[in-house]
Amino acid sequence: MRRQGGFGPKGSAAVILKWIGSAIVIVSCGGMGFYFGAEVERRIRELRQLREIMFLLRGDVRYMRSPLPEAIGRIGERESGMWGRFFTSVAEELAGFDVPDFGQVFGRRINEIRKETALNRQDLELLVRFGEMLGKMDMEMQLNAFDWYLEQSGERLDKLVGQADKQITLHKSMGILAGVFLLIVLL
Amino acid sequence: MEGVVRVLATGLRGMVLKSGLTKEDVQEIRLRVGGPLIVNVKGQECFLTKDGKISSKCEEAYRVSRSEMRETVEYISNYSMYAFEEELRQGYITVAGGHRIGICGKTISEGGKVRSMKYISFLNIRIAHEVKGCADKVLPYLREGGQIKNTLFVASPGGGKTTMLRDVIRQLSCSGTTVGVVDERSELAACYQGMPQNDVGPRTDVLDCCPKAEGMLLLIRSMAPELVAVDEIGSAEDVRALHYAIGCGCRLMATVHGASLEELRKKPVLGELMQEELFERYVLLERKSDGCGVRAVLDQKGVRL
Repeated sequence: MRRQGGFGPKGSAAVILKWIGSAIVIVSCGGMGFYFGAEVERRIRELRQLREIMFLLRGDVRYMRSPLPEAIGRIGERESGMWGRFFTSVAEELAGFDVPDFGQVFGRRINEIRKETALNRQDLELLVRFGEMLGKMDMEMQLNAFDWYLEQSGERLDKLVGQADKQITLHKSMGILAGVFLLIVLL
Repeated sequence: MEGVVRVLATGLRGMVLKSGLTKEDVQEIRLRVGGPLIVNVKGQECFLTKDGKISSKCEEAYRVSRSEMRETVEYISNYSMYAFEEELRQGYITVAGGHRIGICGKTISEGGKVRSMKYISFLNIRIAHEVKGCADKVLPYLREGGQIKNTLFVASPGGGKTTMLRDVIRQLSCSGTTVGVVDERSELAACYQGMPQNDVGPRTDVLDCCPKAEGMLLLIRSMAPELVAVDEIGSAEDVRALHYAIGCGCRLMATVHGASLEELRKKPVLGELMQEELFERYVLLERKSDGCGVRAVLDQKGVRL
């Protein structure tokens, strides 16, 4: 028994559509896999960039004794992209002297970039906790806060880099496999 | 006034702004936790009420809360207490605009020296006033035959020494003298990120936040000033640096706390300076609403000119 649409002009059009549909499913799912793989790479880049920024900020605070709005404003000018904008916005809000706590301003601005950044929830929480330590007490305390953040983020980065290849391959394969699975279910 | 009050907690800021007082009127704003909000207007103590009215009755005054004090300290320190450790040890922070804020609380000592301060509960915001032209009357006495006389400005706190010295610097700089200013407390030039916020003249170099003695030597070596100006001298180190400056052929202008020459003579370090007749002019100042009341100009012997 011939299946409807198997042959003839209508049948061949349906086959073509099926092929096109299949290709779309595979490409979309595969694309998702590649996207998540790229996000892992972006998270690594962002963590590295943030650590570099914190090294610079630490130096500015330690050797120049710059107040936070000034040091952060300079970082904002120096860095491009999202983190440059982030630090500029923190410095601008601090300059207004309308919020009594540095951590509050820092935490709120981090919340605003949650959707934009590739950092995960734990990375951002670490950053928020670091912000809560800044500006308080003496120089020793500031340097301890920087060292704490650099150590914690360093551990996270090392772990991530160690697993990155596996994670990226996994995301890509899972994407393609998810596409194949969907195709089997749909066909 | 907005520039000055921006370091106050937002609630207090509103009250001072509502009062309609201008920067020129106000000399000091005093904050004490649980105490009345006090404003010194043209030498007169006034109280500010919650709705920003000026009152002479203490019981009507607004009481400053602990959280408002904490918020004000955050703004004064620019969210960065660590950056002002040295200033805190000395009991004051100078904010943008050259306004000096005296700080009191519980000190943390180490080895008999003040290391830091906590529970900051008392603040005295001294508003800096730039009065251009206030040195017009004294300037003719400070020059003789084209040469600038080494001059010491003497007044009690709030007597206008810094205001007077700033205007002298500006006028001499405008008339062609290269001036080097060691601005240890950022009150003379009120530098913000290295740029003077007060007018100190076109031929003036400023070494900001630098200890006076070290700063004088540094300035002389690096900028070759004809005149070196410093605020509030007093230590033996300062005096050594003054001698060095004189030895290098520089002229000097400085300020010092004191009510009279007799009082200065009794001070160990300054007394010796006076005996040596290092300063050729003494300008005695007194507290006035515009910060520039000249009581007398004396020569090196203490004779009135």
